[in-house]
Amino acid sequence: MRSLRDYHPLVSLLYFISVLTLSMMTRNPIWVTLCFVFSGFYVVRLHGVKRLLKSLLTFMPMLALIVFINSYFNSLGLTVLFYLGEGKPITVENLSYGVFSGLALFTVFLWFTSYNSMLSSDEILAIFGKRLPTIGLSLSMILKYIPDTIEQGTEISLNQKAMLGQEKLSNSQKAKFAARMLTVLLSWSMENSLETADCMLAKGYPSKNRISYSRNCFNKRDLRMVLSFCGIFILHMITAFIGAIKFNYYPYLTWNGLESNRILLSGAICSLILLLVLPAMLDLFQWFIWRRILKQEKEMEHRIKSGIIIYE
Amino acid sequence: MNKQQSLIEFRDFSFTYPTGENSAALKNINLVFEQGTLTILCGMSGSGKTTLLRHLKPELSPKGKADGQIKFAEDIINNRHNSKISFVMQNPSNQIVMDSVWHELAFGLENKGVMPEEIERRIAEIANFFGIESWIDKRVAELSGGEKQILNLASNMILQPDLLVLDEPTAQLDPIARRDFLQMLFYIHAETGTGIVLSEHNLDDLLENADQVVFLDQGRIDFRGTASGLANYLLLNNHPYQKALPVAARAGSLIMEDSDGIPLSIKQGRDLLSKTFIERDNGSLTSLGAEQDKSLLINKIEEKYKNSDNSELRAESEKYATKIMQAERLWFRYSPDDNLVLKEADLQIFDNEILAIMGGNGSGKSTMLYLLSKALSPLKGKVIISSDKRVAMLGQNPEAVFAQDTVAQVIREFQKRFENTEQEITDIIDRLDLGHLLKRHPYDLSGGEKQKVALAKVLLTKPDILLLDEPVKGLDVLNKDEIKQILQELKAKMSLVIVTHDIDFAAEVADRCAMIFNNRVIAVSPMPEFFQKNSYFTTTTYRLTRNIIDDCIVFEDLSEHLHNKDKEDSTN
Repeated sequence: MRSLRDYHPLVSLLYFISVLTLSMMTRNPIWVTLCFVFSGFYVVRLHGVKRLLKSLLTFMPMLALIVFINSYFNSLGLTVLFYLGEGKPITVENLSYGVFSGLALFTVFLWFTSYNSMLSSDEILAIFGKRLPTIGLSLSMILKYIPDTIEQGTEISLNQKAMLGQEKLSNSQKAKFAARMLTVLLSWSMENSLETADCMLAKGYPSKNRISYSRNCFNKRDLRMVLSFCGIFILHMITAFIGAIKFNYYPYLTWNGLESNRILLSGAICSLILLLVLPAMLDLFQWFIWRRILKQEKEMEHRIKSGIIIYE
Repeated sequence: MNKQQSLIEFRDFSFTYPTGENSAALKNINLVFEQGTLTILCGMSGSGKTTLLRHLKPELSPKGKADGQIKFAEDIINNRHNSKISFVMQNPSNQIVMDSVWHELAFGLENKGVMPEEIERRIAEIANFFGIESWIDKRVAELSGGEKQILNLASNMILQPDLLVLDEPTAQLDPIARRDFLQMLFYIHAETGTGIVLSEHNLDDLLENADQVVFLDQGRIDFRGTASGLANYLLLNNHPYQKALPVAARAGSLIMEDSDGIPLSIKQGRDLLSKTFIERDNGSLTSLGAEQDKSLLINKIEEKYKNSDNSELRAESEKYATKIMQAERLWFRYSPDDNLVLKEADLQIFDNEILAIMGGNGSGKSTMLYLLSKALSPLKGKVIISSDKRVAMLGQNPEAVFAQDTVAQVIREFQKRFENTEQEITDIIDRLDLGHLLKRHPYDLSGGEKQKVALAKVLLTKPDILLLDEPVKGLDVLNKDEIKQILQELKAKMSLVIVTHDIDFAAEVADRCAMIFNNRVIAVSPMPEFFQKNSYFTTTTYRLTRNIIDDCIVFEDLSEHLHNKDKEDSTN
């Protein structure tokens, strides 16, 4: 996953868009499970096991809720397990539908977790800056204002408390206070932005020939990467939608795709795995290259020590 | 010598703001800014410094009625929106447009439509020149105030200006950051020959580097010439602004009969003082050798305190004054992942005293005040306040307490809550001399006026203990003096705790001083002792006179000493 970072930010953006699409487009248990496993794997690679377990723990109640709501309001499915309350049937079908919908949602969340740490605001700007320079500039300015405003807000609220001392406030007073704080914050940051505007003027801002500079540039290597995974993605879409992906939860769990062409099916699953495993493969390649270099160095050292190579 | 090319020339220039009624902000300015010279512009708040500086940068020139001429050299300006003049302002944070350091550096070049390869090279070049490669990838929000201001300097220098205009660039910085900034500025001047125009309140460490000094008084050029010329002029005319001169110059004027070659730096001042006192008085010379031994010196000071008035004062403050507030073993951090800001910090505050807390940037001084005011609660430890005592605090930025559109409304906001009578309010307004400002918008005031308005507001909450965070930050000498007098008057009614970077101000106003270092409050001691025991973290006057004249901590001590000396000499 880290090696994907060496490419232009647009490459990682496109990659994430494609895996997100895969994770959201179907409830097919095979697809959902594969996407879930890999998204979890990448979260572990980027943030460690702790982060994944933490997200899992926080997600569990939500998953339970999704399963419950689906089973309670949806009485489809024929394999009845038991009845709830006034004859609401809980079936294998509606239970498993709930579980896999929940899992698909969680997968999307996990992808975003990885994606967030992959792309900094700079890189997002690099993507937008070229095409939409005004949006790029505004985004950067907003990103600068957010920490500034938080800091000012904290200062104002501390100052309020510090000036008025140890008095206890009633709820209505608190509300009044919050409103007052907001007024102060607004007028203060307004005043400050006047100065920022002056500085923009001083650096020649409203200018016809303004360009958008970005430290990343999109080269042939990036293009090759995009073309290769887009190719896999398209291949996958074709094979999957011709039939392999078809899966019905109701009335029985049936995977229609299984009965269609075996080649189509294996093509679809192989391309899916290929796409998901791609970042890990890139990492692995790099690791191999790295190891070879190290090995070579060791070998050289060994030769020098044992007197096979002599520098004069 | 070749006559240098003039970049900008003011000819009989006058300027009046639209709201200025009949009083002009600038009157008959005749001034030349030459290529590669360093000009220092000084004068009191409201003397027209900013107005003049903004006329040097056509993009920022204020609107109003202008007379006379400003002539720009052909090659520094193409049109109104494209000049080779850069402008750095006071507030480090507000000047930054983009969110990351490299993008902020690129911003000006992007506007000019410079090719990406060229931008890349210029960023590399400037980062190298300023030695800021290590923070090129940082977010702007991660930088300290001083670093932000260096970034502002860099993002202007990257445009390769012919003239760099700076409007009080160090007013918001602490002394260390100020020193770094000025060193960088002088380095730029020496290495690139960029012309510099700089306005400043604090003339220390500046004058000796100036090629030209301009003193503005009420919109007129009152003096123009060399730095020592300005010192002479102000001292001879006994101008109130002379207090802004470096201590060395003021001391020099007391010693020297004619004022040529007046000392401007501490070193020059010390040379002059030691020469004078070796000639005049051999006694102090003999004691010099012994005094160089630091431990002996400290012994001597301690001995002296046992016998002097100061020791009585000290005993008084520790034994007889009533303790009204105590912080016990305070621990504090802002969030669980942060480092500790305070650890086992103790502090005691007595009745009717002024305690000054000093310390480096980010050492936790402001945090200490917030804890004392109970706006923050400590992780461990407690703050004990005598019952029936009210604590109130004013933060660094008076803007944080301005919620209304006029000064009068700001001051009266809590009138009901604290049951202020009309008499109380008018008394405070009169004392702080705010009567003429009541209808103004608080944001339109000068720094000193804003500080006074905020002070009036906090005083109306009737505190017994008043905590002030940097009350004189960015103020000129006269405003500082005024605040000092106000604080000393307030001492009769309450205790004050002041956090400040300004060592000289602390020495002038405080009864006791303390430092925050390594998360703790250390070296709490009466003011004279505090400064005499330090050799580096001490007042300018003490650094000037150490080992030459004893016990001069503030300038008044020195002038008194010299006065007495003169009397002795004349009687002999």
